[in-house]
Amino acid sequence: MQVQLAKGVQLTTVTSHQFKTNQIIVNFRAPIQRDEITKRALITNLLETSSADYPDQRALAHALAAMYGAAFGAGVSRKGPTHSLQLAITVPNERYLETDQPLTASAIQFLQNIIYRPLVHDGQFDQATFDRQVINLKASIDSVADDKQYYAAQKLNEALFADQPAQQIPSYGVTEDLADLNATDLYAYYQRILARDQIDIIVVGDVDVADVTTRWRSVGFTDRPTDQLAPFYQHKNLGHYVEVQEHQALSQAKLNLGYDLPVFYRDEHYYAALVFNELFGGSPLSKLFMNVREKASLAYYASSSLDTFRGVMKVQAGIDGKNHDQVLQIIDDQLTAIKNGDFTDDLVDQVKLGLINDFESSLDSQRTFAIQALIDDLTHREVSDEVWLQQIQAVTREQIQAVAQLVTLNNGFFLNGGVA
Amino acid sequence: MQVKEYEQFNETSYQTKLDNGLTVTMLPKAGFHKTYAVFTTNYGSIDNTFVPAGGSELHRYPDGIAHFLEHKMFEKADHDAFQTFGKYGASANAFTSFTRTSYLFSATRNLRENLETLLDFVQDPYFTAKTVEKEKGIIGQEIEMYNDDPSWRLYFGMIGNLYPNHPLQYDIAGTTDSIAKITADDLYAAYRTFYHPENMTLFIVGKLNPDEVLDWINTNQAKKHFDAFQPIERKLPATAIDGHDIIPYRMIDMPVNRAKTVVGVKGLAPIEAGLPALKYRAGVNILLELLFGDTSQNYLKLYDQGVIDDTFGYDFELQNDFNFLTFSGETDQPAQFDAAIIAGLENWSSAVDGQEDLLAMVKKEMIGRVVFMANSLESIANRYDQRLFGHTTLFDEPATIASLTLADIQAIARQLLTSQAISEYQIQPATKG
Repeated sequence: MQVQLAKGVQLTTVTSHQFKTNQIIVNFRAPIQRDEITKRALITNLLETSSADYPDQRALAHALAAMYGAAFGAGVSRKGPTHSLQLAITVPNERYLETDQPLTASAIQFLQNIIYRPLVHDGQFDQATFDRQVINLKASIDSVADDKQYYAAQKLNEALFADQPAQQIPSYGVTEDLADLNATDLYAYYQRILARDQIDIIVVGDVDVADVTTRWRSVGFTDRPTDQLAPFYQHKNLGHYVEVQEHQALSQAKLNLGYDLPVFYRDEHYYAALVFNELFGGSPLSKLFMNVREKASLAYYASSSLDTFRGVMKVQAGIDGKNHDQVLQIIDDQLTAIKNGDFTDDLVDQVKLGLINDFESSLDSQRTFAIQALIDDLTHREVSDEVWLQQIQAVTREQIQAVAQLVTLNNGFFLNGGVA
Repeated sequence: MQVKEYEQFNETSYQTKLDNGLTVTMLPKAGFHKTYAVFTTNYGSIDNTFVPAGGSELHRYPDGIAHFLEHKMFEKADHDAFQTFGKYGASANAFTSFTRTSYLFSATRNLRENLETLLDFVQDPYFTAKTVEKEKGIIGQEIEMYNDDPSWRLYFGMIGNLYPNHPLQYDIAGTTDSIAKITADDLYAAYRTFYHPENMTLFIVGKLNPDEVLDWINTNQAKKHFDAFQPIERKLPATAIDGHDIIPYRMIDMPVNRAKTVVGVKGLAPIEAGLPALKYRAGVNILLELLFGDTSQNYLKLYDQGVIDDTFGYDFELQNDFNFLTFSGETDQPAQFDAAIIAGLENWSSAVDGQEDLLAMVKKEMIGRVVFMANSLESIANRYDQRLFGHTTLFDEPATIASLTLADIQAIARQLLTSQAISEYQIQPATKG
């Protein structure tokens, strides 16, 4: 069920008896701006660790433990040209515990306290908490580079979106922006988020819809200036291949490739693109897995993924650096093979079954409902489960080949190993 | 079939032992679309010295053989088990731990076909010199990938400190040198020794009808012949009960931006399997929460001092033959981090004594976490370990947690947190040259 609490503020309630917990998510969404990404990440860290009612982590942790170990977290993410700051809490359903505590009501109250009663003095975030979280965010951004798969993926992203800084940097920010932030300006920016961002509240579980609605209505949300954000960012096709190389003292080299693929969420080529990706590198039955890993024994992982909110496809492989040219050739050959229709009908049927299995399995995760509600609110391209299944089943060989024709290799990032 | 009702959670488990020795446990989940099945043998990376089935003498096998065998089980003479699962729309996988090898699938459709595929591919070994050689390249890349992973290196570095004379210290996948020695005959020897139904369990959770599923399994198993089960003789080196073999400190350089450090504590006393093990694990987890959990005084103090940050974490690894604690994190001051953790461990009583209220809250939190895990088929299945915890499931945990008293926690701390069982391992950023 969906209720509009104000212009740009939606409450979606999904009642289900399947889960033994209730989950509440509040998502703030705005057009992505290069200069706001790091601010939003830092605000997430502040909200996650302090508030007027729970001034330090211990007080906060006690409040959560008292709600039978409620899980609370905050995070940031990017979807096409939008950036989201999200707070989520999950509590056990009281009926499975020996307690009279109204846990769901407490959890809603807790989230509202966190959002509307931050730890603030004299118009600024608490200075000591601010300083600590600046240090921690810097450290955590720095150590992301220690995960080489992640590092290589980020370097590819930089190359792939060279024309658009807001798309280039990670959704959790960059360290060079941290130095310019202060507790006063950041609090002013937070006020802007509260007043202007699109807000989605999603409640999933065995809950009393009327009661949940009353509790959120009582916040008194005000209208947002706009109630529709652009859902897609169109990647600029370079038309040719450019590779960036870097050398580090590593045992395994990483080869990450970025392709232009102008297919967007639930547009005419969308379902065929899902099947194409599964066939190309999205599953253990795929061409990449079979040829790079199983036949040539050149990699432990070699896979592809789609970003249908930016119109790109990526391939990632962990290889021995000396096999760079051979791996690049095999990957390219697989794409050509699909373009030429060099795949069996059986394989198409199998990867479709795999996609259907993933889709039906995702219905067993409480989080799926919130993720889908957020996408639906952004794109307004809702379809029923039945239609989704029909669309996948209906994809033809010719449609898969047509998607392969739309793919253009643009950028590569090669992190070579050996002695630096 | 043994039927166990967990009324508080509205869950029921069904368990039986087949004529061939295989233990089958089922837990239907109403409203779920998916079924998750795990077929496990009590055979892991530490079991590298054993008497092969039909033999009479202990033999030392190359490190990484259990994991290698896991990889090779999928490949058959004319097909790959992944393909068969693919045909029936299942997602399949396998993993090897220190003590277990598990094969699993999850599927929303074709449960019978997928279950038969799982049983058939694990019960039909096919190894040739050629396929064994081919796998060495793939596993070699897997080993290289883990070699570059600082968290993995940190964890195994600590295990090497705590168990310097024990196969636990070796990477589960082995080394490029050790796997080079593995032959098809070795794989057959390991297979015949450890893959007898008597040494295996099958756990199925999710969308299922227990009577129907058991029927399918019985029909499938009745078609196969298994020799009489010979008790398995495995040899693990004794580790010093006073902890004198522990290496107190080591450090390596890696190309990382921030130092990483781990403090480990080796459990010197053996833990009795079954319900006592389940209770011990719950007790240790409560102790850890009281000492360094985010509800503890230590945590807030160290966080505010900048000694620990959000990367701080701890873990308790409990298995039949060993158990140990790890406390790890990223820090610019590893020595200070280690000193703070060790001080917290040595002064455990100040964080535990008289903390009845905190204990009550932590117990509440842990019982709540069981309710969380009840949503996840994977959590329910992976929590099950017959050799360690007997015939218990996730839903036996709340009663166990509720039964623990502060005196129990103090007894665990006194016995577990001894200074001679503590060790440190650090990864320092390599100087860029």
